[in-house]
Amino acid sequence: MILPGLRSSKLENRIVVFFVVLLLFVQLAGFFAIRYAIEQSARSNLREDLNVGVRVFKRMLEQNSQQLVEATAVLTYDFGFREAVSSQDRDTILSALGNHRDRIKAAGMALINLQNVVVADTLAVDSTGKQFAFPELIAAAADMRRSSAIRMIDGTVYQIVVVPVLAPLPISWVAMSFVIDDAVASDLKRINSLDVTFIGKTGNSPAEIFATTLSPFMREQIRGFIDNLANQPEMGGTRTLAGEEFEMLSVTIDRYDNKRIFALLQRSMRDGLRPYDSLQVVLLFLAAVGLTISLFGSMRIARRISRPVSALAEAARAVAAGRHVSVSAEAMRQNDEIGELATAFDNMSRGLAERDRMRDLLGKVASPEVAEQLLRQNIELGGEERQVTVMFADIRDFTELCETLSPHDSLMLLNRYLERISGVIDHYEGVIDKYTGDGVMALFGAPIARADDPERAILAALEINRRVRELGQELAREGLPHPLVGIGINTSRVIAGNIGTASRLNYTVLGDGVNLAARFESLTKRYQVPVVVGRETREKVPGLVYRELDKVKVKGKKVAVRIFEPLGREHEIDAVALATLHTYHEAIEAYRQRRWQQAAASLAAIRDQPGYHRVCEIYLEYIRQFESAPPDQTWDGSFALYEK
Amino acid sequence: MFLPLRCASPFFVLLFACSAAQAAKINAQVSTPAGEPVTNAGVYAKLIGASVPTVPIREISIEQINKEFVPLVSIAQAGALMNLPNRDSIRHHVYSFSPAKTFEIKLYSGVPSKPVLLDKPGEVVLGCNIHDNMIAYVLVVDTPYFGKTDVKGRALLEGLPAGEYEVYLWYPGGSMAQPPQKLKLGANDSSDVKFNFASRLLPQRPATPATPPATGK
Amino acid sequence: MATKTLHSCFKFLLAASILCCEAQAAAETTLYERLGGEKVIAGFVDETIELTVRDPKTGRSFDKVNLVNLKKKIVEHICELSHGPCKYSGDPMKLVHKGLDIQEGEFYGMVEHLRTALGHAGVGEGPKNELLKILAPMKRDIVTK
Repeated sequence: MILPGLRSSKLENRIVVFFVVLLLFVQLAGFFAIRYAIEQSARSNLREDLNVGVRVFKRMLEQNSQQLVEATAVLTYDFGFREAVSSQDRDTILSALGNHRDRIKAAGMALINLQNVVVADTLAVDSTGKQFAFPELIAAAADMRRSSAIRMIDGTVYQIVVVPVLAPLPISWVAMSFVIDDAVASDLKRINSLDVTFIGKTGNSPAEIFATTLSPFMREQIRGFIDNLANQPEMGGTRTLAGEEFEMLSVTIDRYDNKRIFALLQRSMRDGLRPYDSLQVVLLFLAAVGLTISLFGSMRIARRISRPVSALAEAARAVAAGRHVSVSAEAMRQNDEIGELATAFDNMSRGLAERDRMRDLLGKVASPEVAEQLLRQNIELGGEERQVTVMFADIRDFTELCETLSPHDSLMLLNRYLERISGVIDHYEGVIDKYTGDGVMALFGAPIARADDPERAILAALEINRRVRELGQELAREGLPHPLVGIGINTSRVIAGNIGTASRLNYTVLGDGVNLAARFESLTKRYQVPVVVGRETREKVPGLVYRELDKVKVKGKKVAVRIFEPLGREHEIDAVALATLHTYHEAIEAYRQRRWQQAAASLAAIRDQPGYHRVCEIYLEYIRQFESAPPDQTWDGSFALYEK
Repeated sequence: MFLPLRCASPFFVLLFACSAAQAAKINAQVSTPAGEPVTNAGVYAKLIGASVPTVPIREISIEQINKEFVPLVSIAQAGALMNLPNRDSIRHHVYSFSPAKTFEIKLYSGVPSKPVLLDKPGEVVLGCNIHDNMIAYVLVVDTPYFGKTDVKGRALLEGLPAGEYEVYLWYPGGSMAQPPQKLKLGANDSSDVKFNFASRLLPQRPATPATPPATGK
Repeated sequence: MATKTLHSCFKFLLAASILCCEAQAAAETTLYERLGGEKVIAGFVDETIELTVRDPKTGRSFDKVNLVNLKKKIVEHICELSHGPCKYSGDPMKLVHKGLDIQEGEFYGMVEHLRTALGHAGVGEGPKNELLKILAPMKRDIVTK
């Protein structure tokens, strides 16, 4: 399916590409929207974690000091210890402090008297009499029964806890110190999975890192900005270190003199995003699956559309070329719009084929335009009785005239006449029934009836007359014979239908009215007028001026018919002619009333008017005969027509 | 050393009879700067220039009732005996680490105490090793003329011979940063001495350490 | 008939000797060790006292008492009683509880708290029962008749 297939695959491809791109776009948009949402969620979770972490951290320090105090109560309530303290038995005191320090794993323990002088110190066993470095802690312990603080001593950060020795009033103070080192930081990290860094700042010196859970590499990274942190109480936010994004929060642990100790908690965004990694993988997987499905699905759909469409296009081309082609049954069986289209196309194709046959048929029968009209109106061509205006138009004495011409030239001449006549008939939308050898028989009112059929017939007749005269002038100039045309028109009920066999049909009309029209035509010669119409026709076309020619009794018929010549519209005829016409009508009326003298006198008066010579002569002859042999009582004023 | 009270009684009466003729009084009043009375303050007068008369042995008693020392504050002259009867059915382990008197008595409930000799002047703070909130203050002075202020902040010092005195104020807990007031007493004088003292509430009873109330959940 | 008796006697002796050996083996490690040493003992003693003091049914006799020293003494006592490396420096139970008027209900209440604490400390059934067996006779000295 290459060349014909190429056209269909274009649509197919377009559909497929469209759907795939659309889905891809939707997936991408969704993916990025979700990713953004995930990131926001992870970030806010991390921030929450950090806030919680800070609270946990503070609580831990608190609990730590609480535990230490409770553990130390065993020492400070011991009677022997209290005795040693009051009696200032330094050795006993040192031994007890040392023991306890080992038990609670402190860095050091010291006893301080009520004058804030260090009596015994496990970290400085031999020195005596030194002032305790942090008297504020003693004061705090005096108020609250214990105190806890973070202090920097010689470059190391300690948590210092102070408790009283009661007997029952305070007689001394025990101070314990614990190093805050990387191990402590690790413990904290184990609890809340946040990285912890302890930082201390003295005055304006650069901040120092005392303990951290960060790798040495990361440690270096944060050095850059920890100085700024020292100036702000609590600071949180996002920072990128070595290409990795971190959420951070700093919290002040303790502050005294010009020193500040704070902790920096942080967590990598990657950690925060980790729970969503699997979600993203699933989404990607779903997207891929979705795309694949949409690809194949859209290909299938596209094919279902484009194949029938191109088949139909193929069929249409065939129909255009004149071949009737049936659309594939498979396409029609489809239960959707394509199926509808295929079925409709098939019907159309059949219809067109039918019409073509009809047109062919009718084309043989009637003018193509009428055939067209017929087809469109679905007229029955079967025999029916209807009122039809029949016209016979003959070229007078054509045969005799053509004796002087060659057969070829005769035919040419004939055709020129027929062409003119046919043209007018077509123009007035009459149907040419047949060519009668040297004339035309036309129908007005069959197969299609119209209200103005009689009018059109008469107007056509008048026009034919004019055209023929023009042609006559032409022919005269060419030196050719130029006969005139006589036209007879009759309107009556006739039988219309097809005569003949299936393969050779002739649509025509039958009936007395038809014969009468032919009679009328032959009478045009007698009365020397171009057109003769019957009474019914005249009655149906009242807008014209007519000259009554005579009353004739046709052979075989009992009743005489009046015949008329249409002259034209009233405004086309001048007053003199109208007056003459009036006189004429009076004259023949007198004739019919046997007032021979009167009639003759009138007739004689108008005999010399144009067009009246022949008709007046006829009547004068009638009168002469009837003067000598008057008609009997039964005479109805008609003239008996014996000849054909 | 001390002489049993019974033996000394006639001697004691005689001395008293002799000195009755020359008995001056000091009415002491201790108040806060705001004018509120200060209770449980100790006032004592030292006769300048004369030696401390030897007085018969006096005894004070500090009982243990309902896991408390009663009275909270006591004053005695150096040389007096301190009884520590335990009226509770449970044991108390009374001790003091004060430099003025360091001792400990592991008492049995119901068993009468042996008195403790208060030989040195100074403040002695008593505690119980079993019950941390038990506390008593004993001021040991080297003069027989002393008194403890009542709820109205008044103390009466009687039987003072004529002479020049320094009158001291003492408050339990050891805050004694007041210079004494000088006073000259005639034979039968009754003088008023006023002390201004911005005392903290009480004297301190140490709060019960870490034990939640017995009315548990 | 005789063989039957002989058989059962034999079985009995066998069982007895096995039990004996087990007891022997058990006697190799001290109860102190099997309880878990000082840390564990300090732990369940601490919890026992805390539970006892908070329970209004058992806390009366501990009113205002210094618990730190108390717990220390009890740990010492149990350490010694379970053949641990301690010397109990306190007074005999009768003396300690004289005048406190301890009721039977209070005693059994504290025993329950001890059971709970032993359970939380993860002490096994064997050592637990052994300990309780050692402490049981103290009831006579503690509870007021």
